[in-house]
Amino acid sequence: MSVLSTIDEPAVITSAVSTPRPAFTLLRTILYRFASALFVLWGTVTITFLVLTTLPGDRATILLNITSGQAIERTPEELAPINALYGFDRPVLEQYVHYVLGLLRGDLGLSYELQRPVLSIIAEQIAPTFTLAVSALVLAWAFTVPWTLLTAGRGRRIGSVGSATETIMAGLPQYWVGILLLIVFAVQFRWFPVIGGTGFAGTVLPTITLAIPLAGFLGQSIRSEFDRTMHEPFVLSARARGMSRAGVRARHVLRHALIPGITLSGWAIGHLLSGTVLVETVFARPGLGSVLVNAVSNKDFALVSGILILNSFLYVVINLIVDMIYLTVDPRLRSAT
Amino acid sequence: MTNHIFRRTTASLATATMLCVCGFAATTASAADEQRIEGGTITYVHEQEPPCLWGGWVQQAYLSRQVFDYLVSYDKGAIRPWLATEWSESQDRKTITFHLRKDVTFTDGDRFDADAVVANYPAWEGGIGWHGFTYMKGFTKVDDYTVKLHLSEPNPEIYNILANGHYGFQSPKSIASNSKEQKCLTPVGTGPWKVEKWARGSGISFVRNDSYNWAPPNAAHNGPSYAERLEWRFVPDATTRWGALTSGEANVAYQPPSVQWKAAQQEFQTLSFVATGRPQGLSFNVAKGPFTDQRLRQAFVYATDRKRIVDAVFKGAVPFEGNGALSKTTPLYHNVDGDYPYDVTKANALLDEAGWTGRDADNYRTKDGKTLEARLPFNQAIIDSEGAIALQVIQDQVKAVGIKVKLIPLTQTEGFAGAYSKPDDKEISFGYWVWPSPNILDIVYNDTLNGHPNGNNTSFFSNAEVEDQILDAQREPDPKARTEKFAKLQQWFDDQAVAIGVYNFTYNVAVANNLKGLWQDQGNGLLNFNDAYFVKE
Repeated sequence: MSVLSTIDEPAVITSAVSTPRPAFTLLRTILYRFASALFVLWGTVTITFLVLTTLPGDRATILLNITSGQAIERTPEELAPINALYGFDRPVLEQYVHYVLGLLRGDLGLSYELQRPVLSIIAEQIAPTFTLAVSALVLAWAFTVPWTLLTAGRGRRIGSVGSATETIMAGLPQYWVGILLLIVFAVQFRWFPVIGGTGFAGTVLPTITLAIPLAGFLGQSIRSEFDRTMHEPFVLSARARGMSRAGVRARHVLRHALIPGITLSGWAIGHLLSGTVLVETVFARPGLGSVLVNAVSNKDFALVSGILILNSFLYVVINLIVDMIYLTVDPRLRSAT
Repeated sequence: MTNHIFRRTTASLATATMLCVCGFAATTASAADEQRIEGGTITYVHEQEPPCLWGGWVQQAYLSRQVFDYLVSYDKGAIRPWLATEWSESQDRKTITFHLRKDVTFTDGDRFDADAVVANYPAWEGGIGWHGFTYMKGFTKVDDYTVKLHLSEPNPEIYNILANGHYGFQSPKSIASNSKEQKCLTPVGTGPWKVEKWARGSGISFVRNDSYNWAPPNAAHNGPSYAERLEWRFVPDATTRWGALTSGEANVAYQPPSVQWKAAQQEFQTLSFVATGRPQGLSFNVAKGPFTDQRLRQAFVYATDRKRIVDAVFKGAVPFEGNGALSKTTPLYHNVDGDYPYDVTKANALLDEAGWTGRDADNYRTKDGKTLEARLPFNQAIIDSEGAIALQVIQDQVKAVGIKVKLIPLTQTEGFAGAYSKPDDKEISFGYWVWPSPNILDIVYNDTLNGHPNGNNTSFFSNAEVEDQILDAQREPDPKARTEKFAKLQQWFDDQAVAIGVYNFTYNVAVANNLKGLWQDQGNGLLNFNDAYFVKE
């Protein structure tokens, strides 16, 4: 396209030649995204299926033992009716095809342990998990940005205090933080309910528990980028133009430094959606985390798979959103498209 | 291995005295100066959330008891009427005729009668994994309000089993037409509470059954529950449960952390129930490996200071149990707590005598170049973290006499999938089995079950003569002779050190001081919230 362009009328040429192109590119990008999302989902289903069918432990035995509370070997006579009922006796490939066909019809299957449709279990558990994940992320950011502005790029001593704080926060075990917050703020001071459920008051302590280590990770990744950017020539030129030091830090340097933090957030929210089991245990909160852990230990394939499909779907969506945010934060990327 | 799960009732006068020792009682009912408050919501925080409200797991019996009623009730050693007003046994004691109450209705309006009893039997058979061990064969209807229960063996403890929380009645209409999901989450019974909503991961809301008027005679009152609602919350973490109670958010807390048990006894009311069946104990592999030698089994037991270990780990929340065959609350229990005192010299002497005189580089005993090693797998869904600590102390103590114990923690998946359950896989098993009857011996020491190796036999014991004696004791019609026969068997298993007790599986709760009247069923520790009421403080 640049062959046709002349120095005299660059605007005209660019628009004339490439007007259909961006639309086409966008469509192609969307199609590509969609196809890769489908591929990711298919991969998730397949790997989950393979892992759960090949892991040691016979599903019918687990089902029988868990409903009777025994941990023993079962006889073929005991297992046969269970296997027939849930189709465990059919060839693995047939079970797989059956499941995937169901998925295509929008049927996530039935949890054989809970005797309920997977979809209704997820629908019931997603809200508390999602609220918790999003609020933890928001809180982590709310801490990280001012903290970075306050301590990064201000010389070695302040920097190491900031960095050490983040390292400690990132390293604190969730379970320990949770129990401590619970004992101090719920049991001793009675500021928050101990078994608060999913209301606002009950969400505060779990949110803080999750946000502390997350803020540590976020801070670490933003800080190194912040320190690096402080040495960029544009910082000096902005200062030379008369911009205040704080202005440069907040308007220009921070913008650069946010990029790795945003990338990390995409990962973090996906992680928070399934990795909240410890917090759920301590604060007796419902949510996908403990449902997933339970389902895995009982090899409840349909339920595990349903949650993982949802998770990978959310990952895909979140990554799309993250890409959008990149565009807002980094104008260089906008001109590239 | 084994099961943490079944719970049952305890019958028999022999245990009545024991029950008192183990803390029978309700949270002292009605002192005259306290004023009862009508209505209110009781919040109970429990640990495990089972998949369905009803089934063969003891965790499910805790819940079913709120929603269902039972044919008979167990009252400190005596069997009392409940949905059955009277009953009689046939000459061969294999058929029991029950006469039913005529005024009982299910919460969906269905009538409780002989047809309802008969309709529930297939659900029991299909829903309770260990149903076969009860020797029940089925019900037949005699008339509208009379049924006959048929047994394959005489079973004097059948009443305890029927009262245990698992064998409740669902409305025939709901069995026939409700979905699997409804039967799992909101089964329809005749009991004092109805399920309003089960919020998975959070809890179950029960509302009072206002027409309830058929409480068993050992309940403190007949009629609808005093409280209006029962919030049964699932709180897996013991510290959180304790926090919920101390902060006043919960009125009743299940299993407070052992370190808080003394505080719980001082600051709150407490209830405690020792489960029937087998205690948490060590079962030695008597089919294969070094522990086929009785001297080695005995040496292992002499080398462990079981009583002190239990006191140190559980701090009084859980009692020591010496008998590996039956726990203190089980009918026909025989006390052997004094056998095998801690005696390192004796342990060493027995090991020397058995020829394990060599020592390897780590100072473990050897014989013919082989180290004396015992693999001990344990299912973490059955042995909690405090139990695991007890095992570590045992491991440490037997090291002093030169026995190497390899602890193998199993995840719930591995455990329930039957990992490490064969004779080649282990030398020692650890676990318990809640069961209300001495016929637990038949369950855990029978070589085969329906022609296959019996998975419940974790010691891989095989002795046709002893099996015959167990069945003979079970069939013995004279109560006194039966007690003697079972005592002799328990003593024999103890002398042989096939299985040795360590501690009892215990159901402890702490109760807020403004809640009175709560009691634990003395068959299996089920909480009865029907009689519980709030008082002004």
